[in-house]
Amino acid sequence: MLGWMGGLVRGLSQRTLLCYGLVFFAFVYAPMVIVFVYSFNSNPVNMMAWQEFTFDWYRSIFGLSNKLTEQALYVESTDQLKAAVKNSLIVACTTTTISTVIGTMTALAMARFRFRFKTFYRVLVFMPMIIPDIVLGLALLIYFVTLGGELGLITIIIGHCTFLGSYVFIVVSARLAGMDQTFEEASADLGANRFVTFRRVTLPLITPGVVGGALLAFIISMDDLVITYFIAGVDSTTLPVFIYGMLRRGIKPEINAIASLMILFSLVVASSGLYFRSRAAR
Amino acid sequence: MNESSLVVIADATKRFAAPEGGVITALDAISFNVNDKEFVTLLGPSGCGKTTLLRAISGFEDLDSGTIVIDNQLMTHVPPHRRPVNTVFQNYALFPHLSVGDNIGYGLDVTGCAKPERNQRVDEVLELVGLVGFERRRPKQLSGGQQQRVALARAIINRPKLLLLDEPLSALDRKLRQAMQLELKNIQHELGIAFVFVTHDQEEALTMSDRIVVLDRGGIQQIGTPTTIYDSPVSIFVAQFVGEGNLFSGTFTRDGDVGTLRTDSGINIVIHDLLPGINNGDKAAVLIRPEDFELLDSPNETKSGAAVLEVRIAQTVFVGTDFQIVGSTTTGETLKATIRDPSRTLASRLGEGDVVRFTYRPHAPRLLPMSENANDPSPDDA
Repeated sequence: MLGWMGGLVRGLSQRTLLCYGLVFFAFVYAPMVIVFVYSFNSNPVNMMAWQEFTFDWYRSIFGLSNKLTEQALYVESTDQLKAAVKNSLIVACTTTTISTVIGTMTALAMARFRFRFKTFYRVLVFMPMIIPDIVLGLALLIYFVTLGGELGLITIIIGHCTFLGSYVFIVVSARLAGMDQTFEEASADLGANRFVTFRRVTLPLITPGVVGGALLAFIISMDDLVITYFIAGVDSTTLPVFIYGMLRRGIKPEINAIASLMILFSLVVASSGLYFRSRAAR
Repeated sequence: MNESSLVVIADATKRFAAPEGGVITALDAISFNVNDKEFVTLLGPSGCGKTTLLRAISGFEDLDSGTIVIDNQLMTHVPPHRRPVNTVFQNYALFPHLSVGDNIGYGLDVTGCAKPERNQRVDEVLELVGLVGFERRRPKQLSGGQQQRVALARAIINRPKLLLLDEPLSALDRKLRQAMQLELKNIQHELGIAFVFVTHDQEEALTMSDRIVVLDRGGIQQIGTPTTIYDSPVSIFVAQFVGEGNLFSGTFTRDGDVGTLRTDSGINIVIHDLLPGINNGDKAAVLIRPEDFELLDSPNETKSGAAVLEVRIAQTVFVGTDFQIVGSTTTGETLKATIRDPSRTLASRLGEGDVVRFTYRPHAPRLLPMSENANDPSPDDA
């Protein structure tokens, strides 16, 4: 009797847990699923009313639309979208490279060397992450204008690097903290100088952290809106700024198609990162 | 400088700032030599400075003052990777991302050794440590004993004049440890290089070393061969740390060529080997090793030149050929004795609570000065 009751309670609690899990994931992913589904909805006026299946919005954003309706003209020019994507990729690739190198070097210095005011420097490195984006964006804008620089891709890259280095620093630092320093001592003991030790021992051992930090930096750079909005020039619009511009003139079905493609892209990047990490862990 | 010495350490001193303020002297004017092909053990409790000393030799710690000379070269500003020494680390520090073969070949790879020679030498040391066929494995896929061998192989492939070993056997179980002790000794003999071996295990030190350096609180307590250290410790610390022993403290009186220590409990122990620094009326201690005791058979038997101790037995342990007996004297001291029993007749005579009479070899008692920090010369912890 008691055993039966216990089984019932266990079954009930398991089912409750399952329900909770489902509700949780539904809450997180339902909006994205809806965006994805309605990106195939042919209803041009009311996105929420399903009409029929279509690839029109994808055709439209790629400039392949054959029926030039008023709605299709909404993406004024596919070239603008393409330019925005290209800008975003240029910015993300450049900033990822620069901030990964800077962040990794900073993490190594903090972990391996003893010097004065270390805690102070550590706080300085963290700061850009804590400062609200809007403040950082405004500060950068004022700074660039004061210096008399022209706003463009260069200013966006500099702006992104100021805070992306911090993210890389954190991820690489975590990896370094878990790494036994005697590996480096063993390398030195066997006759390797600092550089050889870094290349043959330290770098291979922290690679998962470096790659993780780089992916994080890439994703953050790709979808940063607030800071980029302040420091982007007229012809250096990135994808998030471009989408934001579209939204200000009303939510149109093409947005769904663009968003779906972005989700897909993020998925590819994230899963390639996970794949790499699981290989490195082996 | 001694020409034949491979390593000359002179006045090595190192201080650390203690986290709670103040200064810890890790090395206090340490001086000693290591000769060619010699096996020297640095022995001491944790925190005695032995690891700091090893790291100073390998170059990972800078000395505050003093010098280290290896192979007639002053090492003061020489970084670790330029020193003619290699180390077997306590946790082995095998590179997890490299195979066993690449771990072992690392020392040759970073110095630009040609591939054919490199591979040949890797094969040689693999054979020497008995790991042929394991070169493609990862360190994780090896047992502790095998990892230990890889660490050893990696450290000797550069053919150093001096190999440093930082408690390399401490992670192994007892049986494996004893096997590795012999094997290390053999490998050292085969290679013909000097070993500096750090351990806190006195048994290990006695088994393996040509000479032992006993360290305590950053200073050298005694340097000598294992037999010297065991038979003639110079201080209460060494007597307690190396081997087991019974210590009696008392007052010394001298009478010509012999002396007598009257213990605080009133036993008179005759001393044949006098110490120059201990005079009439001084407080001193005396050491008698457990195996120096003899069991007296009849109640009236005595032995000339040695005191008789009446002991109530608290515990007896039979270990192969010996009986280890723990008891207390009628005057209250704890006493440990090891009695050989080839005829297997003792067991019936040694019951718990029985009173037996012990004496010792007349020349066994070893006089020791009272040190200022040894206010409790209890024989409990060896």
